[in-house]
Amino acid sequence: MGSLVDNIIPATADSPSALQANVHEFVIKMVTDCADVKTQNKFIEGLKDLQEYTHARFSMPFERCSVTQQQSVLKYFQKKDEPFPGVIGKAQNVFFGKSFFTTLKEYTTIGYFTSEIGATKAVRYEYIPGKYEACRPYISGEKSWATT
Amino acid sequence: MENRTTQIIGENTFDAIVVGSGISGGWAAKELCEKGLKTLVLERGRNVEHVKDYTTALKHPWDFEHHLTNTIKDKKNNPIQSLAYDEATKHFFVKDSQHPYIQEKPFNWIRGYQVGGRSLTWGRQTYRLSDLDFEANAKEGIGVDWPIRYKDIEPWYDYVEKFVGISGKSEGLPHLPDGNFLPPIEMNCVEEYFAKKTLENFEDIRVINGRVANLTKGLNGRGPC
Repeated sequence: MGSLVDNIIPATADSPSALQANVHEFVIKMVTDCADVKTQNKFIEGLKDLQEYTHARFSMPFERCSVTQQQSVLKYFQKKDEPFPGVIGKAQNVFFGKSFFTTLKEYTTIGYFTSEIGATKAVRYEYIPGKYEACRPYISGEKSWATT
Repeated sequence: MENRTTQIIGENTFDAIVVGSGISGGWAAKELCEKGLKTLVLERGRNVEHVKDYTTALKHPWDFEHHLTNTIKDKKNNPIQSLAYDEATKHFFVKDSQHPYIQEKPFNWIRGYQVGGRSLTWGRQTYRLSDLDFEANAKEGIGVDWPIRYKDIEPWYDYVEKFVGISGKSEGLPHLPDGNFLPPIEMNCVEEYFAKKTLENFEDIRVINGRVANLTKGLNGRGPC
């Protein structure tokens, strides 16, 4: 799980990776407690598929593959798991559960940007916002704001 | 003995008894007390002390087990209230299992039993009703006609708004009467553009600033939000 989340949000020069923010634990917790049963099952099946696919291609488990190999595996699952666009995609998620890759990416990003490391290092977090400014000019390279 | 009885009766005699301490009961009690009436407020829920009992107000999203998301188990146990709360506000809502009710037609009855009632969880959006609302059911022959019209309630809107502090913008719309507004919370440039384009393209659709109980400047000794 650690190498999975780190492929989705790797470390940058000034922001730690998803694994460093303990997002792998958050994803497991969310799948266990917050996902519906269909999504849970798809996630577990997806993990099995991912290992089988990785083994068939690289003859070793995902976590031991190089980053390039891992990325190519994830790209395959991203494409495979892509829901249909628009309303059909939404209906698909409701009736069949969210796909493995959708759940992985969703909980990784939610977990990262609501974690202390993600919210304060990758984006800007204001504990107690002072004043509301409707508009201000964007300075190139400026970090986005944590939404919560 | 007689003196003691008289004393007890005196202690337990009130000019007014308010049942419920929510936004209506709370206001009624405030009015009655300010007018010098000996007032008793009855509240079925627990006491909530201002600031001290806002136990989650200073927490970060990462302080909550699921970073504010409700669990499946929780949604199953509280299918109605969980639509309105998250991990940070759950303690101000009732448990559906303890307070069941019959839904003849779908109706989400969101409730909070504590001192202050739902005023603690209210979303602060504050709009005046107009005669369009007061007359709608009578025009369609549904239910009993309201005993009042907008002109009857208008001075009371003025009265309450001056105390609460509602930010917003006067628009002159007959179906959404203006109030005593504090400066509005400004639209951002995207919202501004959307409002402008809507006005250009639709004669009868308006995009306006929210009218909300957030102080955009100090009022009655309370600082701006």
